Amino acid sequence: MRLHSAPPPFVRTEATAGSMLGATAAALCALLVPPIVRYGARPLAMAGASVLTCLLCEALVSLARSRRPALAGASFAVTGLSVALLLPLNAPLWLPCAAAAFAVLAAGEPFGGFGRAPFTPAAAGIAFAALCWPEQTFTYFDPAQPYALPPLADCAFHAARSPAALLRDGLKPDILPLDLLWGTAPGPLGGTAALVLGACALALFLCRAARPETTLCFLLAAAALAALFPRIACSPLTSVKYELLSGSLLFCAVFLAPDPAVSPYTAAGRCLYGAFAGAAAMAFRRYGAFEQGAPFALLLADAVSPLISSAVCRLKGWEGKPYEAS
Amino acid sequence: MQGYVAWWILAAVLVGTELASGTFYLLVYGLAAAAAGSRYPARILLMRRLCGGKKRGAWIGAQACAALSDAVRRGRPQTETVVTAAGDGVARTRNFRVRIGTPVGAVLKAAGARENVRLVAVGSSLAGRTVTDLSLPVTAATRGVLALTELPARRVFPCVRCGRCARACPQGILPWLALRELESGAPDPLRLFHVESCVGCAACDAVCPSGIGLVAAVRRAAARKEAGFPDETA
Repeated sequence: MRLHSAPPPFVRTEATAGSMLGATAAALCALLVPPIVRYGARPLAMAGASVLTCLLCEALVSLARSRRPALAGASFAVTGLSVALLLPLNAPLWLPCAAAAFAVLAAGEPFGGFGRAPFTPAAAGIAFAALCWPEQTFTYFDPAQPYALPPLADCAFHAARSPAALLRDGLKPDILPLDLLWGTAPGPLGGTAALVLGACALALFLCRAARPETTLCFLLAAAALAALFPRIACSPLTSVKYELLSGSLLFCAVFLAPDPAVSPYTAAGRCLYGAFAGAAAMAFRRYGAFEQGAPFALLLADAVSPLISSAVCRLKGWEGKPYEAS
Repeated sequence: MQGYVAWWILAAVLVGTELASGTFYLLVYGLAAAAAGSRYPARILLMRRLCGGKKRGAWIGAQACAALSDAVRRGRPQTETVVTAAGDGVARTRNFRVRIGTPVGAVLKAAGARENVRLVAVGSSLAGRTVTDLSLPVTAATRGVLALTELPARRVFPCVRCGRCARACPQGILPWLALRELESGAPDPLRLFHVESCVGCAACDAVCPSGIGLVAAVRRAAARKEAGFPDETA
C-alpha cells in the first residue's frame, strides 16, 4: 500500500457549506411543487431560466477571472430559485433572467461570490426588478380563474390585486385564511403557500442547514409592529395574520434572512439582525412605494450587519484583551 | 494509609470501567472523579469540571494509571499498551494490547487492514499525525492507529459565519474572529480574543462546514498577538 501524508483532522463533521446550500436548494424546489401541480410546467420554466442565468453568469465571471467555476457550492441554484420564487408566475420569462443576472453580476461575484458578498444576491436581484419593472414585478394573475399558463410564452391573464397591495391601500383582503395557507391567493410564486413555507423552514432548521433565531426574530418583530400599528381597521391578530401571510415576507424570513453568509456571526447578533430586518420590512410596507418591502429591508439589514457584529463583540468583551501568557 | 488504599481501589475500578467503556476519568487530590461524556476534548472539559475555580488537580489517563499501579505494586515497568485500530481501512475497530515497540504495520495487520489504505495516522483522529512508514514503533503514548482508504480532502469554502467553531472550542476562543482579523490584512492584536489559550485540539477544524484550517489560523493569530503592535516590537 502507498501511504500519503495529510494534516489533521482526519475526520470531520459531515455537514459542509455545500450540503447546507444543497438542503436550501432542495427546500426551494419543494416550494415549486404546488404551483407545478396547479399551473403546469411554467413554474419549472421560470425557475430553470433563472437558475440557468445564474449558472451562466457565474461561469462567465469565472472565465473572465481565469479561475475554475465554483459551481459545486450550488449557490447559483439557491440564488436562481429564490429570484424565480419571489416573482409572479405570470411575469415574462426575461424578468427572472434579468433579476438573476443582476443578483450574480452586481451583488454577488464582484465581491467574491458565495460567502463574501455583503448583500443577499437574491434580494438585490428582486429589488432591481422592482425598481426597473414594477408593473411586471407586482402584477399577479387571479388564481381563482382556471388558467392554462403556457410554459415559455407570455400569457394573457386576468389580473387580481394581491393581499399585500390591498393592505397598502388600507383595505382588508377578501381572501379566506385557507387560501393564504395553501397558496391560492395572488402573490409571488413561492411566497403564498404558507404551509409549505413552514414545512420547509422546519426541515431546514432540523437538518441544521439554517439557524432559526434570525427567522423567529424577523417574524416576531414584524408581528409586533403589525399588531401595534395595523394598517387596516381590524383586530391586532387579524392584522398580524394578513401581514405575515401576504407578499414575500414569510419567504424572505425563511429563506433569505437566515443566509449565514451575510448575517452576523453570533446568535445575539443574528437575533438583532432578524429583528431589524423584520421591523424594516414593516416600515417599507407602510411608507414604501411598493407593496413588498422585505427584499429592501434585507438589503438594509445586510448593510448594518457588520455594525451589529462589532457591537456584539464589544458588548461581550471580546475586544480589547491584551496577550495573556498561559 | 487508608487514603492510599482507597486511592488504589478507586484506580482499579476506574481502569476496569475505562477498559470496558472507553471513557476517560480524572483523579484529583481528594479522590474526586467524573465521567468524561462524549464531548471532545474530554481531558480539557474534565479538568474544567473538576478543577474549576481555585481548586488544583491533575489528570491521569486510565492506561497510565494501570501502568503506575503495576510499577508501584508489582515493580513491573510498562512494557505493553492498549492501542485502538480504527477507520474504514481496517476490517473491524478493535483494541489490542501490544508490546511497546511493536510496528504500527503489525497492529494494522492484526486488525485486518485493507489493501487500499491510503492514509495511516497515529494518535487522535483530530490532532494526530500521519505516518508513511509502517515499521515505526508503537510507543507508550500511542493510543490509536487510524487507517483510511480516502484522503481527508475537502473543498474549502469562504467562512459562512455559522459560529460552530466557537461553540466547539473548549477554551472559549472565537476562531471566526481570529480568521476575520487575519483576513483583514492588518489584524488588531486587541481583537484576537483569547487566541493564546489554544490547546490545538482541532475541534474547530473538525466542525467547520467550510473546511477552513482554523487551528492554523488561531496559531497565526496567537503569534501575531504575542508580537503585539508593530510599534511595540520596533
